[in-house]
Amino acid sequence: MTGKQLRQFIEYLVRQNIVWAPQRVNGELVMEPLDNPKEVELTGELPLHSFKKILVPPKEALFSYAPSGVKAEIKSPAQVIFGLTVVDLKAVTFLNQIFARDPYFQGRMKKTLIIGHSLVPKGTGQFFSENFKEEILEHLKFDIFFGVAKSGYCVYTGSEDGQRVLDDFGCKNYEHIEYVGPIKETGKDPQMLKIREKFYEDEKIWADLGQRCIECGKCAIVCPCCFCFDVFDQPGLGTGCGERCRQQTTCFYSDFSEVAGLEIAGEKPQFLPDTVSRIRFWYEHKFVRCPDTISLPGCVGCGRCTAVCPVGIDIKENLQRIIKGRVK
Amino acid sequence: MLNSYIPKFAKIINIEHQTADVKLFTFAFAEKNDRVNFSFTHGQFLMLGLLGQGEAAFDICSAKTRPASFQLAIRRAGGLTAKLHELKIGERVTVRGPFGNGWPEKIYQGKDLILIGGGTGFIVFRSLVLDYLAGKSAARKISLFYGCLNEVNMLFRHEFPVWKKKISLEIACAAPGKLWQGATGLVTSLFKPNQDFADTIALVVGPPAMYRPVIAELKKRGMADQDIFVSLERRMYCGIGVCQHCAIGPYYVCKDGPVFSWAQLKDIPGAV
Repeated sequence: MTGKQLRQFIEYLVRQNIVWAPQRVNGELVMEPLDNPKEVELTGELPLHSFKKILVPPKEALFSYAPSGVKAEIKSPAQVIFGLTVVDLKAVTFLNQIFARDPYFQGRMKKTLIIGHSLVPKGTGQFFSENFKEEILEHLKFDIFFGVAKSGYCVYTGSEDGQRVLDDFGCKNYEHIEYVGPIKETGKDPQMLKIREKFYEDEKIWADLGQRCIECGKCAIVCPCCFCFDVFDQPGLGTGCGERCRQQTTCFYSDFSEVAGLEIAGEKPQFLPDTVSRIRFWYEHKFVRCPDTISLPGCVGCGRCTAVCPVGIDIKENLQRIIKGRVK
Repeated sequence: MLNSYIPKFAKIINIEHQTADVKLFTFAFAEKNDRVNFSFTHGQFLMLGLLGQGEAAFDICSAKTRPASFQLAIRRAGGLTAKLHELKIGERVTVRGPFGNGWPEKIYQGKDLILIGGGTGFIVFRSLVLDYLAGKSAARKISLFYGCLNEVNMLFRHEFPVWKKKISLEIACAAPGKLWQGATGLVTSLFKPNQDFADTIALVVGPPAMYRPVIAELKKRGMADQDIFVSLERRMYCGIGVCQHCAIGPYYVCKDGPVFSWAQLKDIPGAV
C-alpha cells in the first residue's frame, strides 16, 4: 500500500465509523476520535494516555436495575482504534487475556477494529520493549497491521474482520497472520520469569520506594495494563432505579483494601495500611500475579509510569534492582 | 458468554436475632431453577447485595444438606449491613456465587478436626457443625473452640445444647459479665498444655490479630504448617479474581481462598 492509499483508507474508515487515532493537540500526542483524516500522526511515539480508555472505560454500567429486575445491556459502538504501536498491541493482547471471560470487554473487542503499525518508540530502551519483527505478529491481537517500509506499507491481517474491511476498501494485497495466542513457542518471556523468581529476595526495595512514592496513582492511570476496579451502585432518579457500575481505581488509594469494622483514629481497618504495602502490591500484581495466572507480565515496558511519576520513580531501575536479587 | 456480574434474587424467609448486632437470615432463591441448582461446600462464601447498596462477601453458615434455603449471619458493621438489618421477611436481596474454595474436606477425611473461631469468624463453622451433627461430614471428631467478647455477644448459643451432644465445644469470653461461669481470656487459653494434636487438622477463623497467637499455640503442640487452615476476609468486588481488591501475595482470596493452608500464607507480609 502506498502512502496515498493509506490516507484514502483512513478517509474510508472515518466516513463510516468512529476512528480513534493519535493526533497532536497543543504539542501533546493524544488518542482521540478523528475529525480530519489528515491529522493522524503515524509515529513510534506513545501517546501519554493509551487506548485503554476505549477498551476499558473509566466507568461503565454492568447492568441497570429497577423494581422489576435487572437488565444488562452490553453495547459498544462500531469503532476503529488506529495507529497502535507493537508496545500498545501487547497491552491490548494482555487485557484480552485478563478479560477473556468478561462479556463487557469482549463485546467491545467484537465491535472494535484494531489497527497497528511497526514504528517503535525510539531510544527509551525500556524493559520488555522490542523492535518490530514479523514473527511477533502471530502473538498480538490486531485486525490490520501496517509494516512501515521505505517504499510504502506491507499490509497484514490478523482477523477475518480485518480481511473483510480491506476487501471492501479494495485492497487485495495483504498477508494473513493467524493469531496463535500471546505466548511464544520458545516459552514464557525469560525476563518475566527472572523477575518472578527474584521478586521476594530484596524486600528493602519497598521500604525505599515507600519513602518516595506519594500515592498519587498517576502510574496506574496511564498504565495500559492497570485495570483494578471498584463496583458500586449508582441510584437513578426513579424510585428503586439505578445502575451497578464498574469504575477504574488504583491500588494506591487508601480505600482500596478497606473493610467494614471499627474505625481507629478516623480510619477504617485496611489490609494495605501504608505506602510500602501499596507500591509493593502494584509491582506484585504486575510481576507475580499476572505471570502466575496468565503467563504474561502486567507490563509492556512502555515507560508511561516513569514519565508521569512526580517523584521520579523509574520502573526500569526498580526491575533491574529486583533482578539483582538478594542484598548481602 | 456467562455474565458473572448478574445476580440472582433471593427472598428472606426468616430472620432470627442472634445478638444486638448480628441477625441470622434465612433466604430462598426466587426462581425454582436457582433453588435446584444451588450447592456449595463448607467454607464458601456468597456475594450478597441490595440494589442501590452494592454487595459484600458473606460466609454461608447453613447445612449443605438443606439446599432449598441458605443462611447467613450478618453483623451490622457498615452501610450495606445496616440496610440489610432493616429488611423484613419477604424482602428481596441479590446473590452471586458461591465463590472460592471451602475447607479441605479431602485432607481432613477420617481425621479429627479442631475448629478455632473468634468473634464473627466463628459463624462460618456452623455449616460444618450442622452437617457433622447430621452425620454428613468427612471428619472423625470435631472439637470447637470459640472465643468471644462476652455472653451477650455469643452467637448460636441456643443451639449449643444440641451441638454438645456430638461435638466438644469450649468457650472463652475475653470480657465476660458477672454471671459468666466459663473460661475467661483469649481462645488460646482453652488449649491444655499437653493437648495432643496428632492426626488432627485445625481450621482457624477470626479477626486478623487472632491468627498468629493461635497458630503459635498449635505449632507448640506439634502441628505442622500444612495441617493448619485459615479463612481470610478481604474487601471484594468481582468474586472471580479480576478486580485485585482481595489479592494477597500471589493469591486471590476470592478465587484461590478464602481458605488457605498456613504453609501457603506464613511468609506473605500482611496476609494476617
